Amino acid sequence: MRRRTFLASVISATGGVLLPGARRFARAVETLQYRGTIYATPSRGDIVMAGDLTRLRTQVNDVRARYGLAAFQWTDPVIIPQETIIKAVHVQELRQAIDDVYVRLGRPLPLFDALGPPIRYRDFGDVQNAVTVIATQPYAGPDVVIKEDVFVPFLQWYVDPFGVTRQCLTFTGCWTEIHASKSLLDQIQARSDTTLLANGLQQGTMPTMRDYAIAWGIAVTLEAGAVLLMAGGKITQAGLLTIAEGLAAGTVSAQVTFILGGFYVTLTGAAVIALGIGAIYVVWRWSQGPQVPVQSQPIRIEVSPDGLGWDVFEIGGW
Amino acid sequence: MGYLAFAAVAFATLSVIAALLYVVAVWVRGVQKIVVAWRAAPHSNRVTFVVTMSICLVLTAGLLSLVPWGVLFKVLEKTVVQMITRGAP
Repeated sequence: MRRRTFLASVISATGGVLLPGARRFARAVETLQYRGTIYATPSRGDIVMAGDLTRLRTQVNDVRARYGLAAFQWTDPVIIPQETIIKAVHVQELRQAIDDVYVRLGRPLPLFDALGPPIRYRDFGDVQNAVTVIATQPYAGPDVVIKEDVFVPFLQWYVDPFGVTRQCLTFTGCWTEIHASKSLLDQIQARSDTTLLANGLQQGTMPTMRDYAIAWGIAVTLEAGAVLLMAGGKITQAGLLTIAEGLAAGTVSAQVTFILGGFYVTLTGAAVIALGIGAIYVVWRWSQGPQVPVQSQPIRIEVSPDGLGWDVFEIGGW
Repeated sequence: MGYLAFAAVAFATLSVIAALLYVVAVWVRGVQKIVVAWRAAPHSNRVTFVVTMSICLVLTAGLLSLVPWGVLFKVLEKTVVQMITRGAP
């Protein structure tokens, strides 16, 4: 392999041709192309500079840290302009380091071209693209990092501190089971609107409240069924007595009127009784377990660019 | 408050049992009244009763048979019952 220095080498995307005059253009390119915070994908003829490799290493390690991987131990950890020699291992390490993240996320590995010699600027660009794909995608950690059972009611967080799988009755929305990383749980519990709930859970009040809420729900439903049964009984009683009156009536018109009226009053009472039985049926069905499967959904979280906190938090599915 | 909830469940369960017994008693008593009235009624009254009740039964049965009960039941199952039973243990 030819020995070249970072700052002095200009390598084309087509074959690593060393261009003359690169040295005097290096600073200009650095200033114009890489001064902003958004990385510009290198193109043919660009200059390989020490800062490129250093910046790429930093980005790769940031992404690794984001998904719980240790910082990669680089060969030639300090790149000195005009002194450190470009080596294939530099690119190989970058590829390996970003591959680890893809493996962690269960994503297909990025495709890289066979590595030179000569080393081309495109080799760095390919790694940069692989980093950009991961760095700009919504946070996908909870599916692969430490898994904990979390239950989420509508617009509220329920984090069971006991590690027990629980389901809760709610009238405002459905409970959704998700898996989240420990770090994410820490972030959630750090929010002001979940602190109170988390404190309540720590005191063990939430499961008790849940049990009581369910018991009250059953009681109210059963009582409603009983009231409907009683009301239906009263109505049917009136209907049956009216029919009996019709049998004893003196004229045909009176007989028909009483019997007809009594029949439909009785029918109405039977319908009310059916409603009462329906309420009891609902309680019975409830005791048989959930009639729909509890959905397991990943959460979608977008981490803020600075890596601290998060900007968008969303649970899809309803 | 906690044990009160379970007491309410027990009370509601007893209420349902009492209500069911009441419905049965009401129907038995009502049918007995009709039987007594039938025995005491003259022949013409019995004819009127049979004819009127037959017409009512046929008409009602015909109308009720037009209702898509199966569809209604499935809709109820998919909405009300599932919504309520979603949080079942």
